Amino acid sequence: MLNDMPSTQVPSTQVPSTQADLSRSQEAAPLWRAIASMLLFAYLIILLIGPLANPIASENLTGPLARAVAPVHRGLFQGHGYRFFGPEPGPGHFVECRFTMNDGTVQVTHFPDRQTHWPRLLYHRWFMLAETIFTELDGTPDAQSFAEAQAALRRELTALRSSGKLKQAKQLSSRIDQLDTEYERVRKRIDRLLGSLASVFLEDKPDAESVELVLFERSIPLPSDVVNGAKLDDPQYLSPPMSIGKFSRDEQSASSTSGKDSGSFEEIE
Amino acid sequence: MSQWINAWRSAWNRFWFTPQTPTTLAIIRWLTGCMVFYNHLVWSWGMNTFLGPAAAIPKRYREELLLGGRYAWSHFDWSDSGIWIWGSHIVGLIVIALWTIGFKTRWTGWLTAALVISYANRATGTLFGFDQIAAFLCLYLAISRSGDTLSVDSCLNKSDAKSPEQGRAVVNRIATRLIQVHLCIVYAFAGLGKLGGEYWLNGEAVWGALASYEYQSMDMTWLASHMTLIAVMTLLSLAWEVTYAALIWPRLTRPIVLAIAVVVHVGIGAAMGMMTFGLIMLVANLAFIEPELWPIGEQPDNPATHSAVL
Repeated sequence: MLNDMPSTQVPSTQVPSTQADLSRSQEAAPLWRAIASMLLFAYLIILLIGPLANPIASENLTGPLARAVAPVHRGLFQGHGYRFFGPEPGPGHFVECRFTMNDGTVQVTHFPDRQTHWPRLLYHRWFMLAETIFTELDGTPDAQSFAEAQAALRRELTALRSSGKLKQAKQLSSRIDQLDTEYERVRKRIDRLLGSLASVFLEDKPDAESVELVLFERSIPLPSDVVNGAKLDDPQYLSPPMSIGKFSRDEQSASSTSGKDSGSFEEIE
Repeated sequence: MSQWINAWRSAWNRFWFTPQTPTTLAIIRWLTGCMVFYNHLVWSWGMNTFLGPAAAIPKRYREELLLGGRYAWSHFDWSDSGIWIWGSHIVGLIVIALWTIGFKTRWTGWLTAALVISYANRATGTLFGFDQIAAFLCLYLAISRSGDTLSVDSCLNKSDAKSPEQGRAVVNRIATRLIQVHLCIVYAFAGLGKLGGEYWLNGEAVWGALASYEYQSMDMTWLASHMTLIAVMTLLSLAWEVTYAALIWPRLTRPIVLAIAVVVHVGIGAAMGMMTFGLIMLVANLAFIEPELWPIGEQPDNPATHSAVL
């Protein structure tokens, strides 16, 4: 519509005599200008809601607003937070893939990998995937930690009930259920992502029986360490390996023939 | 009160609706088009891994991850057939190339914007700043009449060519302003987000960025023994980002702000391996260069009558 915004037309045979005439002739008609103004104003508000609600949203204002305008944000790929390197430039992450081959040997690859992921833009896609996996896992406790935290809340719930604080007990009970549901939802999402990733890797290595995905975090070295000769890829800056899932080809085949999501893979370890 | 309202209305109208020649937008179209084409070409290497039906990222992932994820449409969801996936990819590359050179620009512009959005939505989890900036540039350029100059369209339509003055269009102004305002929002939130970071305030953040092994594409570790320089770079880039939205508009400060943008983004591109991101940010910054300053493209007869609003 905006492409065809009508102007106050000058007939083609009538040549504008001055700059002022010409400028007037090209101005948008008042009605269209009013409509375009309203659309622009609304769009700018929608645009602003993105970074105001991302990565942290207010439960009472920007969160509901972001939900309301989500169709526009998602449909147009807008609504981003734009917190580039904020609040801090953090450590980097990579994922090691440990393949157990049919003959029992182990082959190791990792992503991102400068040697195999070329051009650099492709490397960066893999790097962002590793960062996404870290972000997902970092915000999600493992099953045992979550169960312990929920057990503590249940003990608190029992205490509230036995002391007759039924209103508070009801609120806590609802909170526990909500946490259970949310955890299950996020865990399934992560498992599906990792399972799908493992499928792609196993597809690329026909001789592999299984693959274990291991996440590493690499800290930023202190400047004084580097002055003293430390290298950025020195193993001392790596976190202990964190196994995030082991996936076997047999289970992959079973899930694909039964039509199940790849995320239905069981973690071996 | 009515005077105040009239002054605001007049300023708003001047800001958004003063007709403008398309030269700056055409240059942005060329550069954005080349970068988007390169980006899509590189997707060819990751087609099966990132975009196809059995890609590493499940189709349902974005629905489950994003607020309103079901609206994050992608043409890759419409069919799992290899012909569809690869066919649309190849046609997409052709469309982007045609848009870049300005052939049937108004159609290919919308199609390119749709392609960029569609790929980005499918590849959730592998995206970074480049995708975000490229998407809004394509979207706003599609609104404009950037194909009226420096394009195949303008060569083919020479017979009914308009005078440079008649080549002005309100939609060019709207597209330019949208790019400018969107860029201000990007920098403002990028800067404000850093104010909560200890390392940005104590002047060490640039070290953190340059010494990240995963990002590194140029060895800048020699700066470890020049931490004063690191502190200057950190605080200067923080101040620049936070004040960008205010200082980019006055003509007095605009060249300085743009010059710092070149240094910052080329630096990020060269040292941190994100040349695509660095360049697309610079391309977006071109929106602040007034059309008559370019030695090419359509020029108004009298540039003095065509000055920017501020």
